[in-house]
Amino acid sequence: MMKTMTESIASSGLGEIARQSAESRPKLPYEGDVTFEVRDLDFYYGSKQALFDVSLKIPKGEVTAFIGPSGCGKSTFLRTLNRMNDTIEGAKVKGTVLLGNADIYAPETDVVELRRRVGMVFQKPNPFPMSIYENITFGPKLHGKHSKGDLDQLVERCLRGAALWDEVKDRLNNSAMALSGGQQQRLCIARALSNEPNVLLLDEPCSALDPKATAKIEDLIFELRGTYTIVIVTHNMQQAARVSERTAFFVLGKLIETGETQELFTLPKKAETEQYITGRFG
Amino acid sequence: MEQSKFNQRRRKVDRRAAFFVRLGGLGVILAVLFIGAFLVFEVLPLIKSPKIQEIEQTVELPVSVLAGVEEFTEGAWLLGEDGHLRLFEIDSGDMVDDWPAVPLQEGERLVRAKLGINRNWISTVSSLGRLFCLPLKVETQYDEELNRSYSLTEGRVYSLLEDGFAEGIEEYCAHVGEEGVVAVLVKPDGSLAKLELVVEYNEFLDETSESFEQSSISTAEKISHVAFFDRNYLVAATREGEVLAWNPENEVLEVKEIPAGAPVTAMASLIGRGSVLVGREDGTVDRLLWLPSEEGPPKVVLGNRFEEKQEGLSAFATSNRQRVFLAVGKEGALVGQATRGEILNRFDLPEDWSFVQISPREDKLAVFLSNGQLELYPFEPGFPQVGAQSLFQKIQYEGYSSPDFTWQSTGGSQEYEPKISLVPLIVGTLKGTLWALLPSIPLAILGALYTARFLGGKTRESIKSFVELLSGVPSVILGFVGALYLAPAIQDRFLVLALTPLVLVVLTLILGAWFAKQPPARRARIRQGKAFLLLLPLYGLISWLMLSQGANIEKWVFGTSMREWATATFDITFEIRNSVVVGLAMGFAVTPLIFTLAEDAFRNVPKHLVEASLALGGTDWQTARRVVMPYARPGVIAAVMLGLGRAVGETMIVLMATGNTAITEWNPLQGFRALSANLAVELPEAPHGGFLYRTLFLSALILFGFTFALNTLAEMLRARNRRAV
Amino acid sequence: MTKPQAGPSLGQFKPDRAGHMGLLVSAGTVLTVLLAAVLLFLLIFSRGARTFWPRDLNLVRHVDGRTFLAEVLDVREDGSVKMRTGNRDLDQERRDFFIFNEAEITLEAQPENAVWVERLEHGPVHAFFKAVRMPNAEGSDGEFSDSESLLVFQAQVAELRSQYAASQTQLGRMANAENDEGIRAAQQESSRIRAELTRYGMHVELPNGHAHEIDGEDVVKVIFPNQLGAQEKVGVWFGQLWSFITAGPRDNNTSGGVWPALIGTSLLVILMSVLVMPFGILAAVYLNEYAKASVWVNLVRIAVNNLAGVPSIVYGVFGLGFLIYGVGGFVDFIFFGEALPKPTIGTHCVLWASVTMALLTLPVVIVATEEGLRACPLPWREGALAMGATRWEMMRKVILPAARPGILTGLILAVSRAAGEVAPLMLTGVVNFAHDLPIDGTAPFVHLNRQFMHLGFHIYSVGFQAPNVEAAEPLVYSTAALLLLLILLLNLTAIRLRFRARKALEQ
Repeated sequence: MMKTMTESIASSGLGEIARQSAESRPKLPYEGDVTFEVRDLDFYYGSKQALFDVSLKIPKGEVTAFIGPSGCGKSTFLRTLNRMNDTIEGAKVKGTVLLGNADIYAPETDVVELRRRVGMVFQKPNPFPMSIYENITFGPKLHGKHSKGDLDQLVERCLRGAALWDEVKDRLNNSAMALSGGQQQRLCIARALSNEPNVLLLDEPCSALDPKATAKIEDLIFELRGTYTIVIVTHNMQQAARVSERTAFFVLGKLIETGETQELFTLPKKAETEQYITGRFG
Repeated sequence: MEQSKFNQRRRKVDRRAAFFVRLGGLGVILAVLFIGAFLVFEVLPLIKSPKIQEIEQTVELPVSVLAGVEEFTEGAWLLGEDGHLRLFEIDSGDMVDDWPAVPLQEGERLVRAKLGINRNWISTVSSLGRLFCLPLKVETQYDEELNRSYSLTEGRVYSLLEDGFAEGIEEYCAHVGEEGVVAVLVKPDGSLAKLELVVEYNEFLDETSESFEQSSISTAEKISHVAFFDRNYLVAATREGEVLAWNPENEVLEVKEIPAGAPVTAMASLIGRGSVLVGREDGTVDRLLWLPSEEGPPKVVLGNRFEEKQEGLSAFATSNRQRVFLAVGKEGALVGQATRGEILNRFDLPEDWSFVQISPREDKLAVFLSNGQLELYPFEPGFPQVGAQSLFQKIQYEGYSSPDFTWQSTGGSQEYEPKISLVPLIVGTLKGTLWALLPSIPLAILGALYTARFLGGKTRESIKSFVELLSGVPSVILGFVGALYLAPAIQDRFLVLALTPLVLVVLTLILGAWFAKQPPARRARIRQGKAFLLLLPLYGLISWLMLSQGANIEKWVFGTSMREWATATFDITFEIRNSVVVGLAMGFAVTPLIFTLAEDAFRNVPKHLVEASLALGGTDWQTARRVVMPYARPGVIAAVMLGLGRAVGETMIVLMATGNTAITEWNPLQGFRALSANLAVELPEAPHGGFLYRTLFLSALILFGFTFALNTLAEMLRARNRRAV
Repeated sequence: MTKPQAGPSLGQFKPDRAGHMGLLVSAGTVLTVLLAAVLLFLLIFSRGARTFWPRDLNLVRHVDGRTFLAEVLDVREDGSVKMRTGNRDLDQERRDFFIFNEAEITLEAQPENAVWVERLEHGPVHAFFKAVRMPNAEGSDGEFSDSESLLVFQAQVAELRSQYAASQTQLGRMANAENDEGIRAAQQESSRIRAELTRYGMHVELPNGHAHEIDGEDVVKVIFPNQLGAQEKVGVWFGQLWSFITAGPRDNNTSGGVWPALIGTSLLVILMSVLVMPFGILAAVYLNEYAKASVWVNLVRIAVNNLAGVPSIVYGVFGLGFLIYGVGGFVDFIFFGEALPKPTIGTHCVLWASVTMALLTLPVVIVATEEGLRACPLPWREGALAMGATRWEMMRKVILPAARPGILTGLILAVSRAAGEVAPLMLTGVVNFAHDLPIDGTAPFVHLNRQFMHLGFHIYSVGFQAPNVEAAEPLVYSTAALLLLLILLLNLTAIRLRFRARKALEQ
């Protein structure tokens, strides 16, 4: 019984992928530093509870992936980290989310500042209907940066950071809507970088993209790791295995299991996890 | 994560903006909704009944034969027994003018006096049996600080009779006009004597000559009261309570349908002298009218018999502005309105009143007591002309041969009886709407169905855009085209106008039948989306033929134009700017509206339903009829309702393309006056705050309410339809 | 949607199973609607354009001995001929339009020297040209009949007339300033010009053989229509069109142009736009972004939608009752009490007409703006918020700019509605002849408390209230064509804009 399970996991190849990518990653200097610490988090949409008692630490500089079947609450959980759920009517949060030492749900928290520090990239690329340049400078301008020279530099830095510079440097004033899907998504990442955040939240960033564009984004995540703490929600387990160091598995609003990606994909502790990664439910 | 100063400022801006948007947005919406509330607010005063407040002022004045107040109720005039007309200032009680108007003999005194209906002359009878008529004119002077002062203007006093002729006269009626004086006296034995002083003006000699005539009116009955209608038609009541009438030549007039009643105790004519009020011992009030009659002499009829009773009814106080009266009895009075035929209120009076008068501005009630004291009560007449009866029911108006719905709000003078029935206007509006929708509905709905389901992307988009352009054509242009082009163009082409669509439909059907018989291969070559282009030459040719030969076709069928034939055969009237013209012109406004909305509804039918039907072997047309039509029905109904709303409120087209006569007729060859056009025509002239102004606001409120309700219903239908999708 | 015929082949005819009949009939309805619309546009534009076309003058003899130089307007199939004969003030019956039977009249040649003289009053003169009377180069009066002198005559008369108008303006200005000396000078100047003008005159021979002199100051335009080639006629057409647009109405609105009406319409529309845009956008932003979605908001939205369907005349009633009598009366009472009972602002004027129009078009702007806002997808909003924007920053920097096409569509539709709507104006401030324009050269330049003229109302008033409707009818068609052209262009722009915006969104 035990043997067949390991076999089937092995046959999915996820463990192997995770192992290989873990080996290719350089070690990070901040061992044990934590970016987010979530304690006993409950979340409600009106009277409907969407997250149950979630406790989780997200280490600094690493890539953490959230996986789980659709509707399991992984996106909801991601959106609690920069309080994007505030925009939904009837949303209610219980519990603590610490960013560094500060509780982001404390009344004195400046949501605007929080969102500057915790950047987010959405499922569908959502560039604003303006030029590429304006898309990148949108955030900095909001936060009070107006010097033309600084902004020019920043645009180049962010676009380079998102590996888009070479493709768009000649048409910075063209509409961002004219870019391809993959380019748009990288632009959104560049836009998120423009605020100089500590954390990047990626909500299924590749679900609307073709494999080629997906690969580019994954490479980019690899590049950005270390500079930024990255949290990625994905429904694609191979992607989780490729890009993340830690994985959290959600089912029906509950955090089932969390651990190092390589370990979770090779020797899951919980039966649900095992069933999910072997494709027996989901 | 404390807020930085900069972020605090941003937050502040955000909060302010939110506040501002909420305030502004809500404000705008409330302001727009306020329109309806404002209309209601302006209309509400119409339902107030006349009111009399607590006593405001009392003045001690001498006892008189007749008394009254002037224009501003600042002065009171009194006709004394001694024949002097005196003017008193009400605030101080001081006499400001004294005119020895009536030249009385030694020992003679005035015993009875009556005030003319327009309050510009007084007739009076003396103890020696003489009858006098004197002018009453209170002049108002303004000094530099605009303070008013008053004086009496003296004028010609007519003395009609030798001594003793009118001895013992208790009742009489008199009328003074430019043409002279007419009076009828009721002698103590109940017989009648008529006196006429005719003043003739010779414009070539610039001279006036007077002639005096005396006649008797023969009657077997014993008369108790008399009064004049206009043109000096006479009405009298017997001591038994019957009513008799005579024309100016003293010939007896027919008195119709007046049920007998108690003996008469008071009689008075109303302003304009089109009606006479008869008050009886039991407190009832009748309103009599004389009606012109197409065959034979006019008749006197009962206009209304007022339901409520006033105990001890002994006098009427009439208004000099409108057909409002007080029926004054022992301890109180009724306020009534003659046109509506209703008693509107009742109130108490001091027991010992001798004259009661509504002040000339209708703001005060002046009660002169038997000891000479004058009591003033604030009076608010409200808008007594306007009520459910006068707005929505058939009313017997003065000078009309039968009860009718009439809108004729203003006449030449203040004496005019306003006729404010909204029924002809509502009928007009509905008639215009009906004639507009008749051609529009089939055209728009079938057209929309074809466009939505059988035309390809580009053709459909351009047709839709074109129709939208058509819906933008200002209605003033459509009205102008209707009136100056369509009206003269179609007056000799009514037949072909009705016939052309029929011919076209029949020809199209034949073509369709022929087409269906063709082998499928040939049929397939003609694509459905192009069908309408195929029809173009046919339609163009037929329409051109029909319209250019229209007059000739009519001549051939009827021997003359259809209009002449129809007006002669069915005895109907024809107006060149008639409902058919309006229907056509308004069709240009309504069709595009229904078309675009219905097209949306047809296009919103889910694709899977259509495909399912096609997959089951239904033809495109079957699918359109059995699947698309039923599914889109709510949307289509909503479209028609919105079109209806547009037609109901349309102003310029109905204003220009009809003759704007307010008639309650469904004859399509006649015009009409719609609520909307009536507003455009009459509101600029209506005095602010008056009864007409408010009645027009009521008609605007009706339009508003009707279209608002219609649109809400349509919007809900559409919303449900959208949700279902 | 076009599909090949799906019905099975029918061996024998069954009544419309496949629906060819229904299909054709419904196709016919589309065709009818299109045809009717095309005919309407053709009618208005062709008649509107025809007004300015110089028509040949025919010598017409009537059997009763009368002679006319007439433009033939219409020959009907029943044999009646409608013609315009000019010389209204010289005709016994004061008519310049006649309808004769073909049998009664003979049409003769089109004489070369037939002249058409447009005058300030009484419509045109149709006659034979003789000579012009005017000062010659040495300053003494003389008579000339050559064409060059005629041109000089026209130019000098026009110059003198404009000088006279300028002197009158100057006189008005001096009178306002109570400058007695200036008044005297201006009066002298204007009487000098008048005296100069009397030296000009035009001798013609009327068709009935009588000689007639037209005062020089009355002459507006002189044309010899029978001498003109097609190209010259086109030139005249453009000239007449230009003066139609730029000149004021004359002769009880039966001739002249529509400049004041154009100005009035523009001012009305501009004022309305300035009022309606901020409030319309504010209300739409509130409804779509700030109000919490609820039954109540839906009801309000339906109500606002419905107000678009409330008859325009009802807005006029509201404007008259609330704005003019209520608000205007109140302002007069508070600020202009000393002028009462003469109203200062509490009267019919362009301000209240604009506010009424703004109310009327508010639902249009709200609905269009809301459509524009709704078209902005959620990801843009989330993206902006996730970038640390406040809600207002999100609205101002992302959503409102993105909704611009929708807002612009709303504005254009509102403008086209306001430009064409007449009924509410009749209650709030439009007049058929305004002596003063609401915009002029005296401070404060824009006079909100003045009454104004309006193209749409001009159509109504000239077409229905002018003393000589026949003479005015061509001008009414021209005014209608001008108004229709403006509105069609506006609507076309709106339609294309909306189409483009929708297409952009679909991509």
